[in-house]
Amino acid sequence: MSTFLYCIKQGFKNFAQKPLFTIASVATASLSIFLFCAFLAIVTNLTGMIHKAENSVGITVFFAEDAEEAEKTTIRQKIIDHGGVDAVRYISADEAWESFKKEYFGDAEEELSKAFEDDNPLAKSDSLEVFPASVDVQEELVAYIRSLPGVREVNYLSEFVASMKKVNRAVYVVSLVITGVLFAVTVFLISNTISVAAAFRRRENEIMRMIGATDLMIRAPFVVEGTLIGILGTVIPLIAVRLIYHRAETYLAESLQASSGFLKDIVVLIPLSEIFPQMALAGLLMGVGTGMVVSFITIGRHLRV
Amino acid sequence: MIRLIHANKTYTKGVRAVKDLSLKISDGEFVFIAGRSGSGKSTVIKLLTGEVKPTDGLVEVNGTVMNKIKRRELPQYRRHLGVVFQDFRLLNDRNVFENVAFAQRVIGVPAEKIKENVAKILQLTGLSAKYRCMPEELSGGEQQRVAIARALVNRPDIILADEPTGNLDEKNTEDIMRLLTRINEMGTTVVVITHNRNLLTTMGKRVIHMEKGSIVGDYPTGLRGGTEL
Ligand SMILES: Nc1ncnc2c1ncn2[C@@H]1O[C@H](COP(=O)(O)OP(=O)(O)OP(=O)(O)O)[C@@H](O)[C@H]1O
Ligand SMILES: [Mg+2]
Repeated sequence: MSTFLYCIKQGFKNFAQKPLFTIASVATASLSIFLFCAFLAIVTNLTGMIHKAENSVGITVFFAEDAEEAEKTTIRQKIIDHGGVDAVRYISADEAWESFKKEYFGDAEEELSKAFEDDNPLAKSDSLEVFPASVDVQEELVAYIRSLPGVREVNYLSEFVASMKKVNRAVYVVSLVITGVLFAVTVFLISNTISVAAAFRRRENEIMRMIGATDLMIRAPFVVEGTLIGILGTVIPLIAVRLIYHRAETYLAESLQASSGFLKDIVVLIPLSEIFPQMALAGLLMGVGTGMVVSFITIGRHLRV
Repeated sequence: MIRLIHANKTYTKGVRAVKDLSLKISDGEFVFIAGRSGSGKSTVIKLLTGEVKPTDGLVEVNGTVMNKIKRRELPQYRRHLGVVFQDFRLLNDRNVFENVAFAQRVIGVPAEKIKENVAKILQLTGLSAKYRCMPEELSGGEQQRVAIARALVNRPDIILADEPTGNLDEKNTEDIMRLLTRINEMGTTVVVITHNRNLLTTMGKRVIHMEKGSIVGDYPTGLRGGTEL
């Protein structure tokens, strides 16, 4: 126990002995963990949004002007039979009008309905909402539906989804590269810091060895130091990410309040409370893990020679 | 018991530091090793601490065969040794008490026990009044006594001292020798390397004379006044 405490104390001492190296290590570790978390947040959110876009925004099928009820039922059945479809929902003209009114006129709804009375301006816009099982079958499904007789128009959001996917992939690649480079710099700096610490403690290590200290005991202060760098280098960026994410959430919510349409439903950040635990865990694993492993290996190399 | 049988040590550059050396030191003995610079004295000590391995022959300390000892077995083995150097090798950023307590921390002695043991050893080495001093505030002799206290505090079976008085004046040398004699009388085997001819003749202890890596003389009760080294 006293040995354990002693090692921890020595680790803190190492940590404080050369502030410049320590600060540089903590700063780069912080930066790389910060970017890692930021990218993680962006990619997770984009993926979430794409999912939402894929799932909630289905394919809307409008019927030809002269389509009979029977024809509509046939079309519906054919789509279901075609496969690759999660659900097909019939939206009557009235329903379409209701939701349109709600979405676009809000509080003024009452007056408007009076003005139009029974004369539904969307009388001919009953439709089928088709939810594809996955975005991969969407194109093919749309083509099929277009080929059906009695179908006037098919709307879907493939371009939106496709471009979001492209952005997502780009962010993913860029973040991997940047995080990777920063990670390498972090490893290098932590390793250097530990090497300097080893030089400071050279004499002490020699004496310890002569007295009968185990390798583990000689290594411990350095691993403690590396772990401390890792903890600081993780906690600082996590706090920063928390603050920034919170602001982004509020900002997005406010600026999209005024706008309308599907963006409002899709561009919603995953709540911080949902995303933060994983992020913190990943960050801690990466930061603290790196600090521990790098210091352990570095000091091992110094002790072998 | 320390036993070397036809031990050889050739360093990587081909220097034969120890040549066909056979030597037995019984438990509780006090032995000087003397000889010219480069005759292989320090190498013998390093063979005993496990810092270097014999190239061939046998090196055995209290039943441990040093030829075969594994790296991970060394720490446990060394806890039975106390090693002292000419340059003291103290931790300059820590006071006397901490320098001695350090040896106990390394082997995991509980804190209360450390206080007790260190106090005892500081008393034995005559450092009780100085326990809070930093090494730089001490004379050379006092610093060496701290080093000896550190070597002693874990109650080793053997003390190995490589020129412990090399940096000390006559008075301090005498003090250190008196201390080592006392420790020896308490049952610890003591092996001291020295260039100090005076010690070899006046103390009446066994002297092993080395030359070019081999033993050329073994004097069980010390050197006579006229003996050449
Ligand atoms: N690590 C080493 N690598 C190569 N040669 C060495 C090494 N250590 C010692 N030697 C050589 O081995 C020989 C014996 O050295 P050793 O240190 O044992 O002598 P010594 O009797 O202790 O000398 P001194 O009285 O000067 O301390 C010398 O020739 C020395 O140069
Ligand atoms: Mg020597």
